[in-house]
Amino acid sequence: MILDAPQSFFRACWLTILLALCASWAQADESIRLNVGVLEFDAGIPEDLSSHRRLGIYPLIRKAESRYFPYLLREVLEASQHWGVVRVMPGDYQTAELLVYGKILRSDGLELHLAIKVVDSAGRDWVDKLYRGRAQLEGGKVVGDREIFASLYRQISEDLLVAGKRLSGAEKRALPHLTRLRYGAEILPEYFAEYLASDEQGLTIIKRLPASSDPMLERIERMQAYENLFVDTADEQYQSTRQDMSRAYDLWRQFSREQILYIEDYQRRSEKKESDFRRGSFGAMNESYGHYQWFRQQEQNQKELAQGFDNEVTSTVMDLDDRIVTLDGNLQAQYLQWRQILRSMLQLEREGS
Amino acid sequence: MLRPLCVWMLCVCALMMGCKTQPLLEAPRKAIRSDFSGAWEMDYSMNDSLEAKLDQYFYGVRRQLQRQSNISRPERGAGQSYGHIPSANNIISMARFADQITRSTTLDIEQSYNHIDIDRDDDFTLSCKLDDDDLDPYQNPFGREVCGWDGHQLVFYLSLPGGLSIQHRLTLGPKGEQLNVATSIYSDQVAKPFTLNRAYMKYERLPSDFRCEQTVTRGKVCTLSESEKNRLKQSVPAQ
Repeated sequence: MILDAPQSFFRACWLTILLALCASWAQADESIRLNVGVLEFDAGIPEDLSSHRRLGIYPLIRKAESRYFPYLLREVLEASQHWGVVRVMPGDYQTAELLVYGKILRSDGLELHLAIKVVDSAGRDWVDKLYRGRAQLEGGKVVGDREIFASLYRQISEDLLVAGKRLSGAEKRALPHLTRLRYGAEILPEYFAEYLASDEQGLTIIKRLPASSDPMLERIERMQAYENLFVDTADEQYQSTRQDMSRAYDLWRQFSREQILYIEDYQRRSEKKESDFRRGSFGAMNESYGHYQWFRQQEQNQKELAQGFDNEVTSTVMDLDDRIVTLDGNLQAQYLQWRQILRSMLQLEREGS
Repeated sequence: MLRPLCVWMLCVCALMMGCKTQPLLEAPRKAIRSDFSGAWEMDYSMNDSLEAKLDQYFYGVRRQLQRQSNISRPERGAGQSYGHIPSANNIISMARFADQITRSTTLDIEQSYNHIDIDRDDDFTLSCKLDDDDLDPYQNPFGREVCGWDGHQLVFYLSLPGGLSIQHRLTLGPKGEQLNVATSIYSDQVAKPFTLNRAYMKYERLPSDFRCEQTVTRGKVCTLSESEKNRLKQSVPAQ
């Protein structure tokens, strides 16, 4: 019994160390905050112009929404405090570990349908799902400044969190390295491609890591930081667009919603009730025409309002376009220069060794 | 003095009589594009009289019944009917309804090669995608619309619940200064449609002193046009 005492003491010590290690690993996994890039959504405007009226699509409004919704999702992701830096991006910039792609399938102020796909830098799908949300109103009214589709964005955020929990700690820890190496491979494939490989599922994996003091890696990191600066500047533009258009957009959504609710109500009533008028009578004709006239006039008002929205928001949306194009143009020109410089540096280094 | 007026009246009558009343065909005549664009106001003197049209309609029905009775008299046995006799109430309803939906006193028409918008006061705008070969169908929860060219005429055909259909057939006068809109009401309770012609003449709209723009948050925002601003500047005496 006396001899067993040191043994049990050591066992207890081991157990404590093991638990502490597990806890620190778990903490390490928790502390990995992946950066998220929410790309400007696909506006989902059909090429067939004649279908726009039937589907209630106003192209400029959709275009504005494709920049507005990503920002709303960004706000929700940021508020969840589970992620690193969350940015809205104008294009497919490989500077974040997670990229969120979205397509607007339906948006009429009452219903919002989004197709969302989230991919990490290994090429793994985290989320690939169709989200449908209905405006959250109280007594038919919007409460305060609350976003009417907030629950849809929260659902995306939660799904992202659940998908993240399915990944092992090692897989998660590999993502920032993968992002950097993939970024490097995009800029200078002849140097960085050898660090990457594909597994049997087609996912990108790290074959080996360059030394942390690798000068080329340091250069790539500096470039990545510069690209992040660009994305941050673009992100600010999205933020100001969101602020500029929110009032006009909320009014537009309210009007569109009211019209849809009336139609739904009319259809419900007409299913239950027969007309009070005899078929072929003046009253019956008036009733039939009156409903049609109401609908067409509402449609017309909606078109005018869409025109009003265009008049009010076009300059904001176009300004954003211009600024992004200018920024992106500068970045692309910079890339070209950098690529050439890095190539010549690589050549010199290889010749020297 | 009276001669040119008579010729002109005859032209308009011929124009009105030439208006077809049958619904837009599935295979309309080849498009001969007319330019309807401009501002139009109702020419009351050339409009159909509702009473006269009703008399004419009832006369037609009586004649048809008479013909039917003459044809079927030799063979007609006991219990055989004259066929479908429309209720007078239904016909009067159609006439009243036709009169009611054709009261727009002005039309503002904007037309391009492939689109037309006919803005009517007190009613919704008739819009159509103009295609040489195809009609433009449109459906919503309350009815179905088809429109397109039928020869030199532009036709809007609207099918509504309750067996009601409405057709507007627009025809331009020879010099482009007269416009006739023949509105036919079809009811599944009456065999023959009721048609009412409305005539419009072109007028020049005065240029507005204001330039207006629709917005969502501030409604319609109007500003003085440049010409008006200049005029006001000139009228203010220099101090």
